[in-house]
Amino acid sequence: MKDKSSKYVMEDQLQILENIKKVEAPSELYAQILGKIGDQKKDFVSSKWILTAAAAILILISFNIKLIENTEDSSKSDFGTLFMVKSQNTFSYE
Amino acid sequence: MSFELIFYQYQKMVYNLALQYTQNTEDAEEIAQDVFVKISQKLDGFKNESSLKTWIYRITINTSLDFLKSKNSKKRFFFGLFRDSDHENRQNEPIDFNHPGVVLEQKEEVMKIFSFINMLPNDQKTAVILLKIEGNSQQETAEIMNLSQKAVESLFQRAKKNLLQKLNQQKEYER
Repeated sequence: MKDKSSKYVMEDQLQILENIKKVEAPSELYAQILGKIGDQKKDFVSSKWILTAAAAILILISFNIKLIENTEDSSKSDFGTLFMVKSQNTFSYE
Repeated sequence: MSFELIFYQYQKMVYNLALQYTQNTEDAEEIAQDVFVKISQKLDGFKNESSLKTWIYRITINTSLDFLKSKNSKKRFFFGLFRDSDHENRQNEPIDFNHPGVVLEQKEEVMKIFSFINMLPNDQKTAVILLKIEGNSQQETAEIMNLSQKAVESLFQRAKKNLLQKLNQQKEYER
């Protein structure tokens, strides 16, 4: 009995949804959309600029790598000299 | 088909569908704007794998669901600061209910049923909206949702069961 009445209520409630009317879209909608599309085009960065920026970053990175490599080489040679001095000292003890 | 022609042919459909999801004119307007911006961007890539109407339906459904997800997460953040036992119910209540398609005499009842529909999982919510409010056939709904007719029927039955459960819960709460 309870189920029957619940079912009736459910069907009734869903029938109410069928009474919802279709309404017209706001008249200014098209102008607003064109404005949004225009704004997006303004914000759009062309692929030419993206490629130029990527190339500049790549050049900077490779330049930095070269610079680091050169610095490491010179510190290595300092260490070599130091080691040689040390080994010479060891030799002198013998 | 030009963008302008598409707009004038489908603006009412898009706006009304967004309105069924949000039950608010401002939100529906925002969604409709986003939908047509997306259409203008994707129109060149549209392959006639489905009809234009189905394609626009799908864009509108996805945009509406994304909009609600982001709106609810903002709401959750706000209510999280003042969390209490009624938190979950309040989250789905159409506080800003403003649906011009609902007649005044039925506003209370429709508001109540929408508050339950808003609690349904997205696919069940979409099935109820497309079948019951938009008046699409089961075949049309299946095509829009990219499902079989059987799956749509099962979704709708589950939605009805869930709605009934929520209605009964509310009745007991009111007693």
